[in-house]
Amino acid sequence: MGASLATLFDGLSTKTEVNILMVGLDCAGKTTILYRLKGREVVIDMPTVGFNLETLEYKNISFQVQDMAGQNMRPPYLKCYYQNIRGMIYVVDSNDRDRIFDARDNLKVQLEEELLRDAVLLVLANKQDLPNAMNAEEIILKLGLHSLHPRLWHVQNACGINGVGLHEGLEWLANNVSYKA
Amino acid sequence: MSVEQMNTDRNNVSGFCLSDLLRMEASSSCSTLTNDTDHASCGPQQRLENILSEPGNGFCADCGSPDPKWVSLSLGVFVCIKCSGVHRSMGVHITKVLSVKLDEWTNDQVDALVSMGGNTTRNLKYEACLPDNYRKPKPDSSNEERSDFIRRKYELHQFSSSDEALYCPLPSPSSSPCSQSQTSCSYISSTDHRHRRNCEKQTATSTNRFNGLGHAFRNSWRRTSEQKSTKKSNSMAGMVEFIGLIKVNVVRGTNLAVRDMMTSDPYVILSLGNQSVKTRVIKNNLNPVWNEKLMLSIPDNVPPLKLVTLIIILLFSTLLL
Repeated sequence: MGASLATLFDGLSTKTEVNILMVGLDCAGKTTILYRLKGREVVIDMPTVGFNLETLEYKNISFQVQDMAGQNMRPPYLKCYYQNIRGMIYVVDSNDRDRIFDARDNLKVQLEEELLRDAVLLVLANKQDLPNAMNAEEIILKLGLHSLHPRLWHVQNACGINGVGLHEGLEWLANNVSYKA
Repeated sequence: MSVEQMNTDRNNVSGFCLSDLLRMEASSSCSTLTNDTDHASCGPQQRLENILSEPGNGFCADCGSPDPKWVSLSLGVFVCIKCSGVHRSMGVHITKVLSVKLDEWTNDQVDALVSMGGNTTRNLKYEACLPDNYRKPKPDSSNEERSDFIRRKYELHQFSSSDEALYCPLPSPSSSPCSQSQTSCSYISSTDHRHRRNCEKQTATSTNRFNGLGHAFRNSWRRTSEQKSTKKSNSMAGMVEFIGLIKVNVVRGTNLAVRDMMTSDPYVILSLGNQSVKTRVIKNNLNPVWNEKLMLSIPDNVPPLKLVTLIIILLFSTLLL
């Protein structure tokens, strides 16, 4: 009892580190979201080559977020980034109706990765500020998220430009990632 | 290849990832794509490289940087990575950017690109009416300058050859220039929801003088402050028939209200129905001089014209038109 209380307090006082992978098709808005969460405004964001790695402090959790380049990348060299990942943020350009099924296929491929077996999935329906953006319900349907059972997933409407919905998304991640060692 | 090495030496990954990943990607895509021999005896990637080596495509269509490695598939131009950032920020309904090296291309995509003719041809269209004294961005231009130019060029079509067609007063479905004008208008309107959010916060009138405006238009102007625009489905924007064109010269503003700490960054938005156009942003200036011509098409039922000066949160004192 005493020992468990001690670990509990220990857990409360120190920051828990959680690895999060952020993926999505190119131009979905991953980097913009990452830097928006870091408090920096990215007005014009060039394509990411390689990845960005940033630590986000949220409550008592420190998220290590890897923002992967969205250009067509084949799995072999993605694997090395997939170590100890507790959560995946999948960013969707809600305005890009032409490629929503590409996004679905891409998401499926990503989730097949064995190292992501226990990762929870947060889908950010980004670019909600643009005309003709699909809402969360439509995105759930088009990405076929209901078929992901039993994986824990959540869709959050978001806008990387003005930051709407990003903190709600992190809140969900903080509440739902597994903290087991 | 160094995949194994990356697995074992994770700390080192960030150090070499940029260049090495690129190289790996380039070499692996070549190896896989050379198998795709069903089209003109070489793969789409090879065809793409061939197009890239054509004269005109060796420089960014927007800022002139050498060796552009990104392509706007929808606009058919090769651009540098910096300009590609601006293209991406406009949204895929205007321009869709792919990488020459990092994306896998299909023959259909390459065909589409070929049919558009490359940088020289596209710039003949998009920069047909570029004023002689206009300063095109250079490779070392700031992001603001770049963004301003690219948005005018592709989003607002301010320098496009189809602008001439916009003068066509009564579009008929059969004549091609007129249908072109409708296309340009729908381009403008398709982006206006972003602005509309701001526009609806505040509309204001002032002492305004228009050059050569139609009567109907003046009437609508008086109603400016009374009416809120109705939100229409954006998909309808392209279907509206236009009966004319209004050109508004935005000259300058004086004594604008301070909205930043000491100053503000004003710009003007004009909106008419679903369309809206805006001037460039002038940084840190309470007496900005725009001297810009904005153009809007007049739909059959003239909605009120709105004018908004936006100063970060929006305020407006006097503006001379």
